[in-house]
Amino acid sequence: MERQGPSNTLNSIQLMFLIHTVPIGVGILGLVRFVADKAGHDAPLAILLSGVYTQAAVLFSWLLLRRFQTLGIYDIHRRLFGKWMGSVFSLLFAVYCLFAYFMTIRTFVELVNTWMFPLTPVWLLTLLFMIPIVYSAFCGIRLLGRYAISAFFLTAWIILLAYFPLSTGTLSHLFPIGSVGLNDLFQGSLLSALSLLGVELLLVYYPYVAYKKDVLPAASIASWSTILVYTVIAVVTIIFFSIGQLGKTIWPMLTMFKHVQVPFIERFETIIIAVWLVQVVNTSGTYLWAGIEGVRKAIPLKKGIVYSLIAAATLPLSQMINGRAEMNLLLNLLSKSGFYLMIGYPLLLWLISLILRRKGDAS
Amino acid sequence: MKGRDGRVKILKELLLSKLIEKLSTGQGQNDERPDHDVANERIGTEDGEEKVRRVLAAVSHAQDVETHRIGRGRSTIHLIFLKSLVDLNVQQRDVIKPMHLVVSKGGSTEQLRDTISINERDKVVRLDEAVAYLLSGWTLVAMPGEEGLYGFKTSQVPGRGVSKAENQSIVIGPQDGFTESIDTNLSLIRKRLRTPNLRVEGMKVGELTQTSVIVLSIKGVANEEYVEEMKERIGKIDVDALIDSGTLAQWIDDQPLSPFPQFNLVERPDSACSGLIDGKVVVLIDGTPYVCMGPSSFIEFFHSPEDYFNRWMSSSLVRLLRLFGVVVSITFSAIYVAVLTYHYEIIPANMLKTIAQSRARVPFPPLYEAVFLELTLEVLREAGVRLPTKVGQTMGIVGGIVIGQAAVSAGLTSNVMIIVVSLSALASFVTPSYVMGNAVRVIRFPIILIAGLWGFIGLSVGLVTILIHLLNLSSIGAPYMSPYASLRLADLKDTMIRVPTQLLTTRPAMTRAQKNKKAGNTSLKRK
Amino acid sequence: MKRSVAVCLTLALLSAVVLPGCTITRSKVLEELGVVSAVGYDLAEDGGDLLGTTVLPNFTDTGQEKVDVLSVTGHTSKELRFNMSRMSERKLVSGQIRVVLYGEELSRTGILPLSDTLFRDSEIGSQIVLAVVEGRAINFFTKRYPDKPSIDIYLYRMLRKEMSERSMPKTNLHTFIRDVYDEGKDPVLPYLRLGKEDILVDGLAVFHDDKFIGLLNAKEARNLAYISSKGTSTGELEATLKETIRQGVHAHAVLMYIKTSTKWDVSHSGGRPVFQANVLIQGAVSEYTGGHNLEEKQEIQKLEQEFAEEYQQELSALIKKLQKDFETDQLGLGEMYRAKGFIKELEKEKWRELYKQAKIDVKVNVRILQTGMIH
Repeated sequence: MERQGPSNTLNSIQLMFLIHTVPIGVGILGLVRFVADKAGHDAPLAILLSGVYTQAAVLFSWLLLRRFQTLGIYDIHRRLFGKWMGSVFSLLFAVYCLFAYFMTIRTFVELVNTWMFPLTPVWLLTLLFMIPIVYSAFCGIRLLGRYAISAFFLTAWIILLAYFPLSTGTLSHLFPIGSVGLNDLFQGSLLSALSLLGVELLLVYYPYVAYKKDVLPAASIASWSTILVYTVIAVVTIIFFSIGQLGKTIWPMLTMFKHVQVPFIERFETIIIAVWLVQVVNTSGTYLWAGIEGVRKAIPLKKGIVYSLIAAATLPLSQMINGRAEMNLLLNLLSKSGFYLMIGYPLLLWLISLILRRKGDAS
Repeated sequence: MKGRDGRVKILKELLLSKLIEKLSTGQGQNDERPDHDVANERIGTEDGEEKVRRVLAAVSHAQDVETHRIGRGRSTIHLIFLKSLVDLNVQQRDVIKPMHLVVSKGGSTEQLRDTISINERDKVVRLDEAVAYLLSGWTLVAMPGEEGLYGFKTSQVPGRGVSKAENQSIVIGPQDGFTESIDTNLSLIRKRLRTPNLRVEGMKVGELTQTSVIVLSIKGVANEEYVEEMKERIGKIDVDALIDSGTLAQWIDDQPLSPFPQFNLVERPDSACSGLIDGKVVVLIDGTPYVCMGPSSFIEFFHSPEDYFNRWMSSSLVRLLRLFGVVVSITFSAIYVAVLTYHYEIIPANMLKTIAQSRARVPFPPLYEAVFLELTLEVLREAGVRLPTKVGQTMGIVGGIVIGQAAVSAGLTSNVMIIVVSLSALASFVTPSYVMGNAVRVIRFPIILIAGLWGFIGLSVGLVTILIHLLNLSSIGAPYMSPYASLRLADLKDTMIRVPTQLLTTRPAMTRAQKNKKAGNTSLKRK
Repeated sequence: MKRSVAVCLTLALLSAVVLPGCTITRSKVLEELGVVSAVGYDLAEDGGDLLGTTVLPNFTDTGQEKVDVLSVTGHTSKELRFNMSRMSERKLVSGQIRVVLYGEELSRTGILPLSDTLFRDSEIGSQIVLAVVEGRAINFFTKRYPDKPSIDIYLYRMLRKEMSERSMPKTNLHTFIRDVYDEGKDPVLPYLRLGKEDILVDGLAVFHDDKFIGLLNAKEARNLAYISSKGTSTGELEATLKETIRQGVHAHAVLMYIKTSTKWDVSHSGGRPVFQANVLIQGAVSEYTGGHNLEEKQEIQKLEQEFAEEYQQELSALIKKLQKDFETDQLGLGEMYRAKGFIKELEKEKWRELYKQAKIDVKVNVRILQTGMIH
């Protein structure tokens, strides 16, 4: 049962939390290692620098969306390229979203396989995680907005645990600040692309946002606070690990929280992984919803059918990917395509719309 | 008194119109046809005997119908009534005795009518109306030579007086609870809310029970949409019997499949009043001491009226304690099972020995052990509820101490598991709302199961799914997880904690009340 | 109608997840596990092989605690594990390992491969303690210690206590791996010696990369802890004073409740690094056998001065030992040097050369905060 009308909207706070939390998926767990590969001890700086990318993405998306009044990306496609071509573009965008949904779930399965259940088949874990993910996407954007708020508060406390790694860390690892040079810093910031993805979904949320005036400030605040979270994590990670050791650690954030010991829980990372599911459902569910929204805009199919088809396709596909090498290849593809889609695509569409003099009408 | 009269009038009208409707149209579909169609039949000026005969024929299945005659010959007065519903003393005193007096003096029909001191009366000319009055406990009087019948209200419904609220009892604050009588319940609310804006709208639900239902709301405060929606949903209920507000709440649920109650059921007039003041719609149902209240939010089920009577710090502590209790009750056994089955590495060194030794002799895996113990506990609890108090105590000893001790010493369960399970059971009792407590009881089992099969990650999947469900729920269209769902900071003042009374100046956004302020701007400083 | 279809689907999905879950997810029910709590590695007597020893607490006998000790030989630690699991009726798991001991001989050949495996294993915590033992690790596990808790708990508690009291720098699996991989720092580990009926923490094992090359005694270990980190300690500092009580007998004083902090000045002059450590020690006099009145400010200052001198000598000797004798950088001076931006990329060999030539000075300041209840 799909709810129609004004009740199916996002308020500005929900929009803010959505844009803030959706990028924080599985990427953050390995983020600092990637960035430190190039930027070394200046990884926090590189990550801070990558805030420029998300800000640019927000700005370009906003320029495009503002021009088309209440339309979202899928309707803009149709307006710009006509019915058939528009549908093709919408489908492509939807495929990207579904790819992101799939990779999020698959990476998390990989993580659980490594840390908890090494013998459990991939498809079974995928099935398990799909229960909340498909459920949340099926409930629609209003639920996703509400869920983003919960996801934030259910995971925000983790940052407090940084006390433990900080207390045994070496502060001097951070210094001298900014010594790696602009080139390395820039290249390092590009490596954080995977963790930045999620901001581009603003293009899909937009028609549901109740107060369109708030979009630019809300999205900017949200994306910068995401960057802030990443920077804090990066600072703690760099203080905790030596660079050589960091290069050998696949999920530095988890290894770091392995160091947490409280009197009644000897090891914390198991709990962190379990809690992290909250974020994974958030990211993955939102991408799934956004993708299916696109599919349904392009091909008029019943909601239940589309969901069943995509859910059914996820299982064999996830079983098909084997090993870290293949995973890394696909993640690389995702981060590259996502990065261009996030920044370049809205800019491109905006320019096209300027040239073609197409606009959204007031209705 | 004016309000009461008005209400009675409304009720009367409603009762009649509904009943007539049912009698005239609804009966046609029933398998059991009435002996003859009573709709639209008129009672004319025929003989008293004939009137009685026709009414009796219309209610031929009711053998508790009684008739009574006053006088003799052509001027005989006939009385028809249902013995089980009529207060015979009142009837004797106010109807029969004065009539005898008048008849013996040979008074006219006019005098006869005037001598009866009962205020609620009506002249009935239609047979179906007459039957409806009869079934409500009125006494019908057939006067000689007059058209139709006269009805006098002599009804008396058995019931108990106002007593202490049993299941939602509190220490300080008002102690009275609702009763089974809708009139008493309404007066308990009116007693507290002396405003002309209290809107009382009566309805009838249940084809056979004809249960009176009253929808209450405060005009100018409650959101009209909710009032209309509530009335519409109640109006759509098509059922033979409506006995309790719990049933009504399930009929009007937003999501009937959910394990969570979407309407709060309260036994206390003061809770109902504060609900009304916050802009909620309250539904009274005749025959049950529980009223149904909506829209309700999840967190509301963990509030008790006492929270407002106590100081804010202690109330906040108690509220946090209740939420902690719920979390413990849902997850504690599950966490223990998960740790024992999959995550032995998180057990601290000094605890490992205790746990491992207590597990050493147990022949079942932790999951079976936990489910077995939880079930035993639920059985004990259910048995305790059904048994009289004195037997219940014995059973507590047998169940709790004898079985528990014996099971441990026989090596069937570990004592740590007993502690865990009893703690989680104990924690579930702190939920003030019984229906919510039951919901918590229910979801504990799937959570234990999934934790036993998938460890922490399964537990997480289970809890996240429940969270999504809760966030998706609504209560007459209002978000169930309000104010967390949209993070209204102003409403957080009265949720998990309760801030000082002076700061509680606004109504919760959930009820979308027409008037937001409920107190003037107050300051914490005494000037 | 639609809803009931959705519910049926969900239920089907759930049961699909639940049913195979029982069999496919390999559960680790506690009582079926051989929970390894301590591991020891030695060189096997017959040559290049490893000799592994594990300690398994046995909980099956209620009340009385029993420990199983298994030892096997093999080429790699994984092979050890494989061979070992053939000796136990329970499934061996390593999630509760708390103590890892390395035999002295093995440590000299380098222990990175062994500890790296531990670090890579997601089951093993990063706060477990590592130690080098005199002789062979297996002897520590096979010996019985009356009046002591089981060997794993005994070692774990003792070493954690020593570290929290700052009798030695804080070390664990994580810090060891971190320092081995750090270009500008070398690791240390506690060094254990077998006593008559107990185990003695007898200073620190100094590592050159991952190879054990020398020993610091208990006092040096404590001094290293004081200088390399900031914090408080319940330990005592003793100084022999110039003041004499009788002919030839010097007075002495003891400082307690010590708070230390070190500030390093790093500079570069004449092609070599220059380090200046300013160590501040604060404490209370708990023992003083001299005759001066400690309520007088001058006397206190004199006492402070004497403490500082004595302690400065000790620290200088420690640094000299590390720099000249062992040529290892336990203080992390390389890291400091890099952090100041004197060299962009720190390379281990290059740093070792620089370190040899480095000028390292220590200046100690002692501040006496109170003099106890009597004077």
